[in-house]
Formats: sequence, structure tokens, C-alpha cells
Amino acid sequence: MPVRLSFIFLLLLTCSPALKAQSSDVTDFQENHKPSLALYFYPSTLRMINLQRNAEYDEMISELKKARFLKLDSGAVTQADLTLLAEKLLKAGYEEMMLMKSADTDIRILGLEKKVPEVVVIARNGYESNLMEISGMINIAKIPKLLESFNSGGFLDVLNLNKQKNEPRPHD
Amino acid sequence: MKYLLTILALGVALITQAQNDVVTKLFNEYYNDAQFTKISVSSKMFELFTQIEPGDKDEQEILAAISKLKGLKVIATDSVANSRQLYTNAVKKISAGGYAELLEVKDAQEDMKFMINEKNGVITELVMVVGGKKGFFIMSLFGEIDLKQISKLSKSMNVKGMEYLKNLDGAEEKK
Repeated sequence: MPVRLSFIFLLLLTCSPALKAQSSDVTDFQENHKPSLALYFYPSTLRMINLQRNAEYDEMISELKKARFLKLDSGAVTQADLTLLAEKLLKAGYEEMMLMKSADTDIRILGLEKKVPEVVVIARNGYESNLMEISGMINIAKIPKLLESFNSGGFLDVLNLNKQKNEPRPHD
Repeated sequence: MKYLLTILALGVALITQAQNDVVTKLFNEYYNDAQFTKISVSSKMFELFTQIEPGDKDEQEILAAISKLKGLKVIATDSVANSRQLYTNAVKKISAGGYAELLEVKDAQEDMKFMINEKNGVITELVMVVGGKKGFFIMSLFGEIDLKQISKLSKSMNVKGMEYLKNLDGAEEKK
């Protein structure tokens, strides 16, 4: 009986409207707009980027559960599509956390406060749009120390892996 | 007596509102101008960071400084010909709104002013205005502001423009 109750509880939890709404909006968007690049990060993959085993970085991401990064070319998505996504997220309980607007860049950060916070970053510039969904927290207090060591390299540039692969090597 | 207190409270609320309106009006003025970068951070962003467990003392201070903030607004540009005029106009409007001048730095490259809005001995808003040859920058940080904590935060964050806040540490000690 306790096993069955746990199963029902788990089922109710995973089917709760808030949880379903927040994840399905970004998933629906991904399905409808076919990104040119989709990356999924989990604690293990996020640690793999850290080539030199920077302790500050590992601690910064320790509360991060998963992240999804989507890159969409300008033809695949319009400003109206992104505004509609933001509106859907706001209806699902997300709140506006940050807004940045300049001549060629628009960035909106929306957050849903719960035990494991959810953050969605919607960014658009002249030639592409990026979408990032993060479950969990980034420990912002670690950033200053991380910045000190960040310029020394030691991190895998996952967003430009294709470019690096295609660039001619020095001996070619 | 109650009536008088109510009028007094309403008066204080209206004055405070008027002060906030000065900076908000400046932001709205430049909001649709493509030459300016506009950044607005809400209290939600800062609230999220209160969930983080600090490690050492430095982290504790950074998180303490962040957790008391209610919002941040920035207007910036580096490509306007009349930046000095924008700076003068902004400082004039903010001063007229009842903000007190905290610190002023002038050199050949740029003019810079820090102004504060204080309520019952607590700084509720810090405004930084910078005017250079072609650049113009306004930052409004609001909430409960501890200048020492904010200056420590600015020292550790290696972000362009934030280095100006380092000067506040000394300014507060002189007060």
C-alpha cells in the first residue's frame, strides 16, 4: 500500500499543472521552430566543460539540475514568436526578472520561484535567437572568484565546437 | 492629531514617489531610443539569490548586499555627440528631485556623480551618472543599500563601469 501511495503521489507531482506548463511551453516552442543547435546540460556534462577542474566553477554549478540551450536562426523565429513564448510563460506563473534592450539585442529573463527554481532566458540579436532554460540555481556569489580565473582558459567552448572542428589546423 | 499624521504620511509618500519618478522619467525618456542600451532588473532576480547558502565570508557579504536590493536600472550609450549635455540635464533633474550628492569625480575623459536618496538614515536608492566624450551612463540601484557592501561587491566584480563604485568606500568613511 505505501508503495502504491508513493506512486500516486509521484504521479500527481509530475502531472501538476505548474510543472507541466513551465516545461511544455519551451518544449512546444522547440518543436515548432526547429533550432539549428540544441544542447542539453546535466551536472555531469557541465562538469565536463571545466577542463582544468576549477573548484569555483564546480561549486557555482552545484545547485544546477539541468539546462537546455537552443540556437535559432533568424529565419526560424520572429520577435512576435518570442514575445508569445514570454507571454505563455508569464501566464504559467513565471515572473519578469530582467529586461535588456539595445539597438541590436533584446534579452528577457523570466523566473519561476519554487523549490528548484526555473529560469528561462530569451535573447535575440540581428541574425539569431537563443533560448536557455535552467532548472536550479547558479551560485552568483562564486562569480567574482570565477571571473579571476576565467580568462586563463581551461573551459571547453561548447557553443563553438563545430567552428573549432572546421577551422584549419596549423600544420594543414 | 490622527488627521495631521495621515496628511504628514501622505506628504512623505508623495515626496518619495516624486523622487522615484525623476529617475523613472529619465529611463522612459530614452526607452525607445535605439542609441541607448536599457537594462532593468526586478526584485525577483535578487530574491532568487537569497536561497543560496554562502560559503566563506566574502560570499556571505556579496549575498548580503544582493539580498537587500529591490531593483536595478541602467541606461547606457557610447555613441552620442551631446553626452555632456545629457549628463548635465540628468544631474539637474535628479538634484531637483531631492537626491543628495554623495561623490563627484571629474577628469579629462569624463564627469561622474553619485547621488543618493535617504530615508530614516537608510539609503534607499543610489544613482550613478557618467558623461564622457561620447558616452553617457545612468545606473539606479534601489532597495536597502549598504555602501560598504556595494563597494566590496563592485571591487570583486570585474565589470566595466562598476569600478567607479570603489570610490564610495572612502566617501562613506569621510561622512
